[in-house]
Amino acid sequence: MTGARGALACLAAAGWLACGPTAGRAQDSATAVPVPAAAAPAARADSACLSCVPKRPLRAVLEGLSINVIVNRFDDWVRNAYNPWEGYWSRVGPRTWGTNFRYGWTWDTDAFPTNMFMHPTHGSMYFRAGRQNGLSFWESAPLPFLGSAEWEYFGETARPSLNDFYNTGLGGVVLGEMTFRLAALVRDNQARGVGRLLRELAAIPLDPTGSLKRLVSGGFSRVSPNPADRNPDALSLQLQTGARLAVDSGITGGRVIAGSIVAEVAYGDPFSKPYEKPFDVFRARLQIGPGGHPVNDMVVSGRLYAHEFTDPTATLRTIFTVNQKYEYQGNPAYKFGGQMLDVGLATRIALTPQIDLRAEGYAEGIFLGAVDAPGAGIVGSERTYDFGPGVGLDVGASLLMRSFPVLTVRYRWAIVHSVSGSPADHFVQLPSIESGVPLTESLGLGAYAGWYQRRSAYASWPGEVTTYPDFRAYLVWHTHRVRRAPEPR
Amino acid sequence: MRRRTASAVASWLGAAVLAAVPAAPAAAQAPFRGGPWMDAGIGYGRLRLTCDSCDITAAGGTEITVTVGGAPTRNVLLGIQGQVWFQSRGQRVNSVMAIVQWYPWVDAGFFTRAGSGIVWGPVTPATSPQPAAARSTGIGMDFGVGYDLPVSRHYGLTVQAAWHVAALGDLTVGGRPANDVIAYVTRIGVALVFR
Repeated sequence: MTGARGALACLAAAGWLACGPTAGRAQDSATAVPVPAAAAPAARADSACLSCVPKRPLRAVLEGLSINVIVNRFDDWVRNAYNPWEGYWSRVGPRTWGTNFRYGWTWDTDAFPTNMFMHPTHGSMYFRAGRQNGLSFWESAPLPFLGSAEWEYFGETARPSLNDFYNTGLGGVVLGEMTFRLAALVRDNQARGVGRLLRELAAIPLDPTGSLKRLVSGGFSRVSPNPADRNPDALSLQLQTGARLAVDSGITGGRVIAGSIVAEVAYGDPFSKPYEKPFDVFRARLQIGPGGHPVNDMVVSGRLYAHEFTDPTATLRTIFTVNQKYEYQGNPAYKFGGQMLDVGLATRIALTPQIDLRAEGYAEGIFLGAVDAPGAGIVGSERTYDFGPGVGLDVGASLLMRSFPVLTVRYRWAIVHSVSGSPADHFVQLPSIESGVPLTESLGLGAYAGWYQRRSAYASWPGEVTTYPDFRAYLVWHTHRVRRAPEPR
Repeated sequence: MRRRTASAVASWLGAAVLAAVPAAPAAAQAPFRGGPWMDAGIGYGRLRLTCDSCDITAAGGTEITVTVGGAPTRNVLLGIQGQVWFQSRGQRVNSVMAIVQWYPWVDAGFFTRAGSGIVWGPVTPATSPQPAAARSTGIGMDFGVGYDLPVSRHYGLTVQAAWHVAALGDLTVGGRPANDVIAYVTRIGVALVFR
């Protein structure tokens, strides 16, 4: 299973980079010309929409089931999957199903990337099956939980794993909606020729099952209407490439200098239009670097609900916001991640027409968090980390100059109470500051400094602290596009 | 014990049916879902307790649920649910959860509810040589279905059935470890709704 999910994860990571420059035909802020909602040929096309696809809930459920059957049979017949802890874990049957129902849930001992990255990625396929079959966000939300429950009870000989259910279900919703929207941006049903092919190929890592369906059904080349809600009201993309210096006081020790690539997407602008539907605004950040799993850092946060307290034309605006968040930080020095719900305020002060000050503060409920520590995990297994619920804070402020973030400060704090692994409470904090200087309209230089600290308080042995200062210097490519509503006739 | 459990189930089901009868004429009204929302209910719940090194045990008890929240759309309610399951012999499973209640058909009363949050309480795993009570705080989730029976525009009754999973973690019971203690509460109940 690890292999199959690993391949998916790598494809997804590559897709982020591949889709970037083509995403939504993003325009440089240099041109700064608002893009009409629909160009002339697309005007008729945009009268159709993705949500106009007939609702096919049964087909969505069956697609999720098919994914599980195919993966299970692939693991058994092709990979002959085996591990020392569970044996031939894909050889399932009525006896293993009965055992799983009788003994119920437990916590598994898989490695951090498997549980915290690959399971959510897998869950996103179940979720997208719903969206591609005409279901709304909320209608699709149960599907990753259903798909995960099927897999946990029927797809493995091991007892169903509670952490897999959480990560596949909640993470699947976040990553599923994000990739569903980004894949729609990358694809262009109106395009033809090589450009069309490149777009379809670039969307594969984001939505492999959707691309397969398009390939089989002829959607790869068929000219058809684009979804009306394909383009967000605003889209910002940053690609940072540079060097990273990290100093680890804990597990690995020493000082590491390495290259790193960061991709950051801001889909929609919370201040440009009122809340419409879940994930009409989201932010995603991906960091790739050497050492261990190639994805070092991935954070996706999308709003589930928002309500503005202020006049939308005021200089100072405040919006009450509820976000669902997925966080994965898995580098050789430390590991932290989880499924979260953020509740708080987002504020914007328009200092000048070109300069914005934005601040946000969220109280965070951590449904399931994971933290590694020297005393954490389960001895004799790949589990070097604890699972548990928790609470946290996420606050930050940014100074934006023509949508380019010239200064950003953030503070992240969380406590995770372990319920599986060591008997401990883990306290995590991460203050950071990031600054960028635009050199041209789309290129700039930037630097980042962060300081991760984890303090663990164990029930039966002395506590321990690990710190991890992290510096990056990079070249940044930035693009920002706004979408203006069509002029009234 | 079995007879007491059966009669308790019958009582709760009877209460649900009785509650539904006067509500039936009002059920034709279009349900109102908007702004704040609250429900409070009571029901019967059956606890099933497992752990890695214990025998599986079961017990019946009473559960009380209170939920407050808001409706971002006409078919989705978001809220916080507080719940207590208890029995006379001292076992108790408490929870506070963030929940989503979803109505697949906007004009109908059927809904599904799911949530996750914190659980805590004293339970008595069947460890060897002798069961003993242990307290813990852990993580839980809740899945349920229900049906709204509107009484007036803002008030109604709800019949609910749900499955509650409370992962209480690794406990020390009578000096011995009991790892991965998980309490399952299957419950059915009725609630008053205000929205």
